Amino acid sequence: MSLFDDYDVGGFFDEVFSDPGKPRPHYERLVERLEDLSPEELERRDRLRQSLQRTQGVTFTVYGDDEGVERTFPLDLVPRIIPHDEWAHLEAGLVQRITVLNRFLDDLYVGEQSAINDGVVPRWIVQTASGFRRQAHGIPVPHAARCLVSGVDLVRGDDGVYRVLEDNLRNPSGVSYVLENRAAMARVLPRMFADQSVRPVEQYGRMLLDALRSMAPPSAGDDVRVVVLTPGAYNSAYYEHAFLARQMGVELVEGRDLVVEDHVLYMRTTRGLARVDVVYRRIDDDFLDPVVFRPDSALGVPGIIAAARAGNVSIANAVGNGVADDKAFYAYVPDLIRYYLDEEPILESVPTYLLWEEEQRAEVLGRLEELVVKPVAEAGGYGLYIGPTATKEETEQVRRDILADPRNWIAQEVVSLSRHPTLANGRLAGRHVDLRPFVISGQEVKVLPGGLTRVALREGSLVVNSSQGGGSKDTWVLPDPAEVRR
Amino acid sequence: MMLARLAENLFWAGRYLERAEHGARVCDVSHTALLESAPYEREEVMRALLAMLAAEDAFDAAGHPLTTSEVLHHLVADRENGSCVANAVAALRENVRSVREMVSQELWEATNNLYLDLQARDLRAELDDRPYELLSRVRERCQFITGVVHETLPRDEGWRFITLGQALERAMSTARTVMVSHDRLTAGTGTDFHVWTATLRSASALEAYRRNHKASLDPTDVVEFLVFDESFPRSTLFCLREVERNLRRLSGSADNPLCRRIGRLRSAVEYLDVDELVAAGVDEVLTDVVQGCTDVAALMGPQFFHHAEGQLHTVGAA
Repeated sequence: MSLFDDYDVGGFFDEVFSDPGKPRPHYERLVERLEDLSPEELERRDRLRQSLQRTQGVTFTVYGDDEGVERTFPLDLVPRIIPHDEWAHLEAGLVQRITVLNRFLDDLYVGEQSAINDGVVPRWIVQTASGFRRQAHGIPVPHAARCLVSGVDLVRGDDGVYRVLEDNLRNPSGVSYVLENRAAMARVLPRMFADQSVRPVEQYGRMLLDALRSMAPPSAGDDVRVVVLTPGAYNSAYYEHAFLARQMGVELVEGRDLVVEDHVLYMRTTRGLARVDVVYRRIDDDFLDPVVFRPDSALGVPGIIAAARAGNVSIANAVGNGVADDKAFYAYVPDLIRYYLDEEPILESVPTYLLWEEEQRAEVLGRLEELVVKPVAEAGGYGLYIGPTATKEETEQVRRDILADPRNWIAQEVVSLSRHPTLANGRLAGRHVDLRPFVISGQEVKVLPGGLTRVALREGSLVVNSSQGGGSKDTWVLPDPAEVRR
Repeated sequence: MMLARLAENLFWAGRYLERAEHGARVCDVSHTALLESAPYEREEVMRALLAMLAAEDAFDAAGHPLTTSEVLHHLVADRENGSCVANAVAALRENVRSVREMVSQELWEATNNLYLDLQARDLRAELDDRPYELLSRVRERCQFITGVVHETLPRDEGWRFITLGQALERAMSTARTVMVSHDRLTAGTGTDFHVWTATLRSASALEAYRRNHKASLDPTDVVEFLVFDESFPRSTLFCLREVERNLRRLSGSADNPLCRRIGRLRSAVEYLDVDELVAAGVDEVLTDVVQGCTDVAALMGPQFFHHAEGQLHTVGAA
């Protein structure tokens, strides 16, 4: 009996099968390998995978229930494969998009604000965005690499076209899973890699460190000191913060380890103060500096914004990026690409309705049952309304919410996410997936060949967030076949 | 060079590790002594136990009756007593947790397991029913953790801060043990032999002492061994030397208030002999030693952990 018996593509775009029983060319070898495995054997491997994840403490913390419970983020053993040509398209599109967002943000905070002055983006959209930080005005950022790390969420609908769902330009997390998943797959199912060539991901730490070092302010010496700033061990992504510091071989610091004197940032060591040149901060803007943001924040560093403004330290990701991953701002990105680069966007967007535009609002209110409604400033899948599966009460509630504060909401067409065979109760079943590639901006913009494929483990669910019961898949980007042959 | 916060966590991990181990051992030894002592002697043994762990005032203030059960509970399990063994273990675990990223996984697991083990027990019931089992287990697990420290950590600054904390705490523990026991030994209440063995056991020193002093019952010999012995790892002098060596290595020079303080303290002990010590008063001298250790701990703040604001001595790059 094969794992694929009774596998049903269910009318969705299936990542593996173009037709029932017929795998896409880049999946043929993997399907063969999987068919060699009995369901019992795969279950056995899955138990090994679970114990590996637990002992290594690959966890995140869930807020809400019982004051923060540590959970593992389950890795599904069936990898997702992206062929070279598809990846080349995504890579070009991501570089184009992030290049433009870097330029827009730099133009906004230290430039002429030309895109606004020329009417490409309405000024009020920018100024009322919850992620806009007027305090970031005038803070220089080397290479204009404001989105030092971005994690752009991509989805594929029934037509198989990749679309950008969100640009996460503030503190995108998940890259540690990309590396850990690959390491776990190599241990648990090494035969899956046989006669396949997969592009490596383990160089991420080096890529990140190189980019961070390239951000050193002119006043830094030759030996640039980079630190990772974490809110601390109780943060949901602490595991990742520690992981990245280890990968780069730099200190993992908390706000209380840092001090600013005469607009220079130092860390407190046993031998006194040691100058810090670049901070990869995993603390939100609001908590970064109590002098200019929330005065009650004990997580941040008083004076760090002034030090950055004086050009003595670089903060990555830059302050105020949130303005450009605002869900309302999203609708203007294609025009910004045309404006800055005079190019057509390579990646498509999801049709989006701006609820402060009266006509669009009227249309949306008329077909709420068919649409997704999102609060513009929330991340992590919180506050999401999904029309086709919502109850009547939920629909009425979201209608009232929209009318009460139209600026706070956008609506989008439902993208019925593509599905991928996923282990469920000892068999393979179709589950919805998305893709978060990681883009690094330094002297140039680069994409890690791989990414986090998140999978909604519950049958029928479209929500893939780790905090909402999602899992992940190892994501294989295949090398250029021409290169492999050579 | 390391982050000051982490150095402080490691220093305190060393102190709490020693505090937990010493507390468990002393309670175990005294409990055995209580079993063997006459009813009229028990109060004295309990008072001595409280004094050795510097817990007399807290115990009296809490208003507990002076019974074996209450004393052991107070010293081992009473969450209201900040320095009880269970709280020392919890504080040890919190400190190791904060430095988890820079110590071995095994050190974290060993520490966490001890903590979880104590959490899962009904400490009062076990102390009443089978204290030896509980107390010897805590002592063994602490010794195990010390072993993991020495077997899994590189000999870097972090290791030095743990070792230093442990030695400083131990110098004080031994000094208190000697102070309390010397009073009782010289008072000569007829139970000398018990007091004698209990004193040495409290410092894990019985066998080592026997080999060195042919089982002499002279209180002066006991004091000499526990204060001045150069090779026994719990003697006050041995511990002070350990503290001094680590502080010098960590400071990079001996020319600072901290190293001067430990140097004065160590040499005050080193260049004294036991007769001079007895003549000057064991209590007086050892009280000064404990005070000296407290001064050293306080001076570690400005030297390593909390550099005074505005005091800009930068290191390393830039």
